[in-house]
Amino acid sequence: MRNTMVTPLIELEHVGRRYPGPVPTEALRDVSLSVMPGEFVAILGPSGAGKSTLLNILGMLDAPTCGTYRFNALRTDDMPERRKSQIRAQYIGFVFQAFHLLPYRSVEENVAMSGLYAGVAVQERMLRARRALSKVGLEHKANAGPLDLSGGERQRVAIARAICNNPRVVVCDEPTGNLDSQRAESIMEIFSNLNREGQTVVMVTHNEAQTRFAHRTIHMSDGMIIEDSAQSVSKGTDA
Amino acid sequence: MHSEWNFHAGHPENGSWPDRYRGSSIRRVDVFREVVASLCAQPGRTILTLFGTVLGVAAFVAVTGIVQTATGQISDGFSQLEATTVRVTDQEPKLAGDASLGFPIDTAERLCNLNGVSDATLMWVVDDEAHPLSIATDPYTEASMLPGYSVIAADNHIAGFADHGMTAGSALDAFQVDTGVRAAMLGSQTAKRLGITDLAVPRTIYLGGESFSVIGIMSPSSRIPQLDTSVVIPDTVALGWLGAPTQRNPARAVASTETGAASLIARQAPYALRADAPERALADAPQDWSKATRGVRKSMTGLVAGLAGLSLLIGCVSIAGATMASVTERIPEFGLRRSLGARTTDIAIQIITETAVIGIIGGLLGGNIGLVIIVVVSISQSWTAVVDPLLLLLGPVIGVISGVAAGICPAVRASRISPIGALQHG
Repeated sequence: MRNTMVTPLIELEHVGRRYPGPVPTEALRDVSLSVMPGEFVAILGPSGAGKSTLLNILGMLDAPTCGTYRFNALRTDDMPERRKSQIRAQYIGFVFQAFHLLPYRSVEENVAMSGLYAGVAVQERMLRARRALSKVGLEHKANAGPLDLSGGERQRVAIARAICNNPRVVVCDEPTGNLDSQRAESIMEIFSNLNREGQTVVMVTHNEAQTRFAHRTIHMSDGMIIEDSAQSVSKGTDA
Repeated sequence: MHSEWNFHAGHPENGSWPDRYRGSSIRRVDVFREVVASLCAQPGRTILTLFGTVLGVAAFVAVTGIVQTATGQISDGFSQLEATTVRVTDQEPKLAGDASLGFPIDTAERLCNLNGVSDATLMWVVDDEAHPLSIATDPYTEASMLPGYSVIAADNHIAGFADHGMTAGSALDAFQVDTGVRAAMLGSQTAKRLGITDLAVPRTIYLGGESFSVIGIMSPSSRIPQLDTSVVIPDTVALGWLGAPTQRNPARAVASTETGAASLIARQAPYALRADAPERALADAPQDWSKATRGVRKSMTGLVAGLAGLSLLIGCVSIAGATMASVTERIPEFGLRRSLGARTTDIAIQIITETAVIGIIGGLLGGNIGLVIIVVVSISQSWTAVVDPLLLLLGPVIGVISGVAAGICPAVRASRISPIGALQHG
């Protein structure tokens, strides 16, 4: 059970995201959500449900058009862009479906990039990268190029990059979307292990089977949360 | 597991943000590491980007250096010869009916008495229309005119003034001139044309049927190049035999002066030669070579400024075009960097540093290639290469200016890329 005395790491209150244009789109509608430190949250839903928009807002790559987002009790809506960048650099790790590894850098250098904008000195970055790689079982591939790795190994490198800087939360956008079921399973095992060590993980996925690794599953549809397993409350789509 | 939260104090480990560019979250040394890694990632692209800058700067350095070298040659020419020669011409046409020589017979001595004159001579070219003189070595064969050859009447100072030696025999002396000896000196081309190569055996030539003893063969002269294709006879002989110089080819006094004295001598000479009628003696003041070279340099400075602008433009266009293409290619990378905490200024600084580094490398390479071109051209023209050391510094400076200027547009574009769109791009 969650400890209600602990400040939520992530707290959304009636958050909405509207994309303007000839046909304005409501990507998120009245989303309220709290994520406590150490939770493993899986966000499920069909395409267009607003999962990625929610994840981008949680990762401060995007901002809500209404509502309030607090990160460790700090309001982000009036936060300057440079502060958001600083929080991203120090406290948030990203894992993407497309890995986003730089092909001209070694595995170790790719991982060490996470400390680049956090102002970590190069020796320390390399040390942290080695540690992160050993956590995902790839320390022996430190000097290889990303193109020499399999898809599963590339995603493990991306996970190592996400955790290298010791972030408060790792946000993952379809981290197994490009992998076969066997490799997807091993990636989920890594997330599960990280979470057991205390790492907060928020993951967007299409695959319902992967929700078994999470403490909590949030179902989304049409930009709204329709079910949150933590609250054991099911909402109608018209709610 | 986690260090203490510290959103407000800057960097959690240092507590401040030293060794960074203003508004940037990345260390300066890391900016350069990232730039070097990016440039080395695609060497082909980097070389192509360099090419325009190298070409522009090489052209600028080469043309500027060649212009400087050529200007140096012009200066040498002015200073060594033209600037130290004063010519005084008899203004016979202004005084119709006056058929005298126009100058005193001791013209050379009078000019040499002026302070600053080292040598002087009196001479005129015999008018070949008034006196068409054939030149021959044999009195019995039909003599003919030698096209392009002339007969020059001169005093005994001409050989000394022309500052050339004799390849054979000796020069006219005062006795021969004063007493009207029919003696002749041959220019090197004239002697060759007449088949006279040495004077071991006394030789005679016939000018218009009159015999003249060849006393010497002159070596080529840079001061009076016309002597090479001439026969020089004493002015006293010419006066007595052919009469005074004609209006077409008037007598001319020529003085060699010390450097810087020519203008003064040009003013004094008419009074020294014709105190009774100084207006009759027209002295050609030599062109002020320092003014002339200043003029050349001024026009060259304009040319060089234009070239510098052109090379800047070439460098800018080349770098900007390639960098724009590179930014489009690297959209996912910029999205990733933003997700890792890069600010828009970090992205812009990286792009501008990349283009500035390309500019510096292009400027250095271009400068060196330009230098090689200057040396090769100078050697092929037998010139002494003159290169301002500042010119070599200017290459990298032009490179870095064009690099930074060219990087501004791509940097603004890259920094405006939405991280979400960029990450979906990959």
